Amino acid sequence: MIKPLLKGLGLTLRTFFTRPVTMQYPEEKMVMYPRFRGLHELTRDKEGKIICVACELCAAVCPANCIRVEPAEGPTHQRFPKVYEIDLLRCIFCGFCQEACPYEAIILRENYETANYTRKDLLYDRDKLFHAYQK
Amino acid sequence: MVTLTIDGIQVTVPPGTMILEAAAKAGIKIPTLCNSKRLIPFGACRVCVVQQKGRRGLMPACFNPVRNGMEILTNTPDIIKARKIQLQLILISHPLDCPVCDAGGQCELQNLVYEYGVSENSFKGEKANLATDHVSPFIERNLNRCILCGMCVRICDEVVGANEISFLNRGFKMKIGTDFDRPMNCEFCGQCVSVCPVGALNDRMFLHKARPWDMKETQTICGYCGVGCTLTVGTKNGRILRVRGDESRGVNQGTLCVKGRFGWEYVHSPERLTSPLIKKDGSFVKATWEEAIGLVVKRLKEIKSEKGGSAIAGLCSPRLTNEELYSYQKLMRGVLGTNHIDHAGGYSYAAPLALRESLGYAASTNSINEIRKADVIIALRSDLSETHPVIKSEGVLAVKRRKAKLIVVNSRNIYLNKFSAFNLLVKPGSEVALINGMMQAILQEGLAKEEFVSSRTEGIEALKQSLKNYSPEKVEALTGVSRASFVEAARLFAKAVGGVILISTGQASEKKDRDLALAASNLTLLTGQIGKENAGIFILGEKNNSQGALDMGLTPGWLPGYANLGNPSERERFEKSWKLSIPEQEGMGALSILQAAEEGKIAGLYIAGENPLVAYPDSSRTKKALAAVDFLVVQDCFLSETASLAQVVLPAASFVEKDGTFTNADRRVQQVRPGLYPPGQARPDLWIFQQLSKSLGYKLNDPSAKAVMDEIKNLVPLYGGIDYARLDNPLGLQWPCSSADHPGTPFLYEKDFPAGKGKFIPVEFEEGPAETESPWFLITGPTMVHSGSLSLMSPGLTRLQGESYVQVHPEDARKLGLEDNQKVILRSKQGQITVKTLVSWNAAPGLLFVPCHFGQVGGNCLTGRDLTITKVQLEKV
Amino acid sequence: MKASEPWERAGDKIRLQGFNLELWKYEGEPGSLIPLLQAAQRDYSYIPEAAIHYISDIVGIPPAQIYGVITFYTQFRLKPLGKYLLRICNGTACHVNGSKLMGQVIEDELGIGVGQTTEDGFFTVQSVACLGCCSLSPVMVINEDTHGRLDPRKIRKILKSYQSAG
Repeated sequence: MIKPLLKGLGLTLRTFFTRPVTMQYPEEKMVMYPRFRGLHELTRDKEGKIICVACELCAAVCPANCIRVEPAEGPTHQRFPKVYEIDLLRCIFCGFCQEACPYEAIILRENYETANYTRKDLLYDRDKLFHAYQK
Repeated sequence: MVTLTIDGIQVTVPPGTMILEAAAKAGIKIPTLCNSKRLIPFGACRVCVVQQKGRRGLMPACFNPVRNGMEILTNTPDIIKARKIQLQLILISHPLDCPVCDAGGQCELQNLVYEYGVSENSFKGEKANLATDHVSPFIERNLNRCILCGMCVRICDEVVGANEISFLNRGFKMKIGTDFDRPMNCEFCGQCVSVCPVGALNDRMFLHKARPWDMKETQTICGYCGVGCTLTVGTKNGRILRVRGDESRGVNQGTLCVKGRFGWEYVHSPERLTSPLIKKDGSFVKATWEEAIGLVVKRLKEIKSEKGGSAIAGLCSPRLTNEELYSYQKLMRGVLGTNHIDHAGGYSYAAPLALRESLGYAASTNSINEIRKADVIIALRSDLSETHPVIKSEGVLAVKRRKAKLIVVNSRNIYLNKFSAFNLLVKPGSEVALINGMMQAILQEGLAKEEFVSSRTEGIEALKQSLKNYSPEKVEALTGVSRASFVEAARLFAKAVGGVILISTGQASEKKDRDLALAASNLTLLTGQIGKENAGIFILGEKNNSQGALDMGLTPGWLPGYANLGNPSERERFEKSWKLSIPEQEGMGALSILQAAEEGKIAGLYIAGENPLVAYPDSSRTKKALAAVDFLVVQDCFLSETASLAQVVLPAASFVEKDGTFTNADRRVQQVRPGLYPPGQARPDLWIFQQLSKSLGYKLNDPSAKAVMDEIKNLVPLYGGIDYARLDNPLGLQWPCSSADHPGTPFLYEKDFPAGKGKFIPVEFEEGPAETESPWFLITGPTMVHSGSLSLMSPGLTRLQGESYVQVHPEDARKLGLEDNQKVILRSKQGQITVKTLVSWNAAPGLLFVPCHFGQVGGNCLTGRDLTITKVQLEKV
Repeated sequence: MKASEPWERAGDKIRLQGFNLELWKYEGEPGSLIPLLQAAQRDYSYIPEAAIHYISDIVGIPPAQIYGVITFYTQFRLKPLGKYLLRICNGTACHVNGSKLMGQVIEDELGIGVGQTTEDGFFTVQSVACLGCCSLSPVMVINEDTHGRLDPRKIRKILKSYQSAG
């Protein structure tokens, strides 16, 4: 009877001197691997302009049907996304959109802190996605 | 017939068929980038290569005709390799900008490259770097993406006849463009856009709007003219994004005009009515349907009980569906007890009714697609390129492919002359004299089809008697056409295997429709050009359902299906079915209604879709008449000029927002399918009629359009076999279709005429009163870009043509010292307008042309209700 | 034809100013396009836009197609020639002896490529396949004068002499 108790105490004693596994989350933050698929970003070119040309391939490939793109004609007749929305509540972070994108205009990056209070706040529009990682 | 084997499948096709088509028949798809069934084979892309067993090398399938016993292989490794190389060669210069290209998703090159797995290119070369044409209206040209298949050049030449674009330069520098690379300035029918296999030619309105897979496409019928083209309407999120023609559907076979393809913007116009309006203290206030219908019912009931049903009148637009038109006349006749109903001015349908008198049916005799197989075509007072551009394409096909002779009879130098063998420029209104002269020439030369005349017609003696007055000399004096040319034209028509007469009608045409149609019918009977394929008379209605409005009895004297109102047994048949009573006395026509209204005899006027203030002659009197009506209800998509005079305005749905059928100019009943919901509180006209009737205490019919058609089917023998299940085919059904197993009638009078024999009804040419004060003849009419108030609400179309003008011949302009774009005043007995000039060779000396729309500055401010040709004075401002 | 263009009536025919009225005998004959274009080029030294519309009226071929024909054949010009027509030979012998370089030198000197005319209307440069004097290669012909055995320095000198001669 006493043997298992001692065994247990032994384990406690051993781990007592190892590094703790738990992270003090809000104070401490986990560093994600580079290939982690977190919140999307609409990337920018060298001049800081949006790269996306609204080809709608991401929307077509999305298995959760959470991307809505509405293309429009810009001032120099170029194609640009007038509307680019991702419904994060429906997104399954599969990364297919990133894979389908011909211009690497959408990337799933390290941010996993997307929790919010209302559903509306989780409907990310073009500007929110564009500035998602801007400090 | 030729029998050959394609990939082991035996197939039998007519001689002259190309291997490509034969393969399609065998169910084998041979890829191609430059072939369309609308075009003559060209062999530009070389993707369709196939192999014949026992012969060396490969050959293109698109322009090699089949031969007996051929064994064709379409899928050997050699062929696949050749196709791959061909695609790689095309990809040398084709930019890979698929993500921004609007063709992405429906690009034939993209599909083939994917299918054949062309992932890399061993050929190197420069990509073209040409400027994109953003300037041309409706059409966006990105020549870098062009693969030089030549489809656009060919369709513009072979089908449209405009030749706006051509191959320019040579070798590597070859491109497709206009002379001096100017922006396009053509009909803007968009045929080139529709055939482009890649994204070189784009629909400007669809540019960067959506991917094809995101759109819902609905097959419906165009709501503009009487041709009844099938439209494929692409919608997304409740908005139309694109309209295209589908090659495999409809009478138009993919061909559309500028209005059909690009004129849909009015559907989304911010000026659409979205709720009922009631006039209070001189201005309109939004109301609910209950209020509006309550008020209409209350006032109509009052009028009916005080002054009787005959104090109520109705004008309805032939743009409505058959079901709606039928319900409207049922409501007016049965429920409100008035026969004062009419459509389209009451005079513009005189031509079909004239054919009913002489031949038996009030409609075109043959099918539209037969025009292209005719040998001689007479365009009788028909400016087809302006009024019915798709029919013009049929004529162009006949002229260019079959070397048919086109005879243009018009008082203006119309665009169609470009293709004509004879341009018979008549004095305004003297077409009848010319046709009579032609008949006299035929009789004199013994070219009449004696056998046909003696066995199938009656009244030839009276005709011969009346034609004696039309010696060539006299006709030459009456019409101003040289004797030699019209006699030769008459000879051609009499000797033709298939002779076709095209007459376009409408509210703006000179008002001799009855005489003209009878003269045409006499000519066809005399030459036996009727009762057979590829011949006959076509009455081309101005509005999408001009034919249906007649069929549905929207006239003062005819019940649906041309049942005579004056015949008690006919009336009883309808009364029994409706369980209503129909007033006995024949009603008044549209112009008489307006006359009566002016005299205060009409207390309630219910206008559905019509815009008499613009479309009817003598606008100022029409305005007076409408103002004199106690209670005016107008039902329309827009607050039209007429609607703004109304007490109650009811918002109606447009043609893409409702269910029903239209009957086109070749008697073809075709289904209209909704692609959108009406905006706001707007409702389909059928719903409005039914609600009104319900509030008046009578259930008009079952709510669905299908149920109404079932009701029509039982009452109208011509529509006896027409139901929605049968209409669900690409070509609709042509009446007479008497029973459920009747296949429809592509051409009439094959065996006999309904009355036994065709009647010759002689018509005399009457010269108008000589008026010397006003020296200019005035012709009004629709133009290619506009057809009335709807097209004016489409910004794209108004950009092409935004304001009224008067067309003056350069000779006249020079005499008067007029220049282009100069303001002039036109004055007639009826009124005056101030418009800008357009100096054009299309006018004739001494003759002016003013479009009939454009409200306050339109041609109808000048025309008179006596329906003769208007003469005007012209003054410089 | 546009009504705004200079035209007048001659009998029942419309006449473009400076254009040979006899050409109306070709009316409605599409096969006569090339002779008509040649006639126009003879009269004006190039084919002006108005002539295209006019010829289009005569033969019934649309302007775009006529423009296509003009751009297909090198014999037709859409711009007036310069005062001096400089034809640089590109035949086999000249090619071997460096005509490409000579072309480059001319381009540098005049600032225009083959088929173009200088802004002052002085020189028009054309490239031809062979001038028939291969012994002189590389060779160029300015109007009627033949200049052979070219090298860059010689070309500059020749061009200067024409420019100073005016």
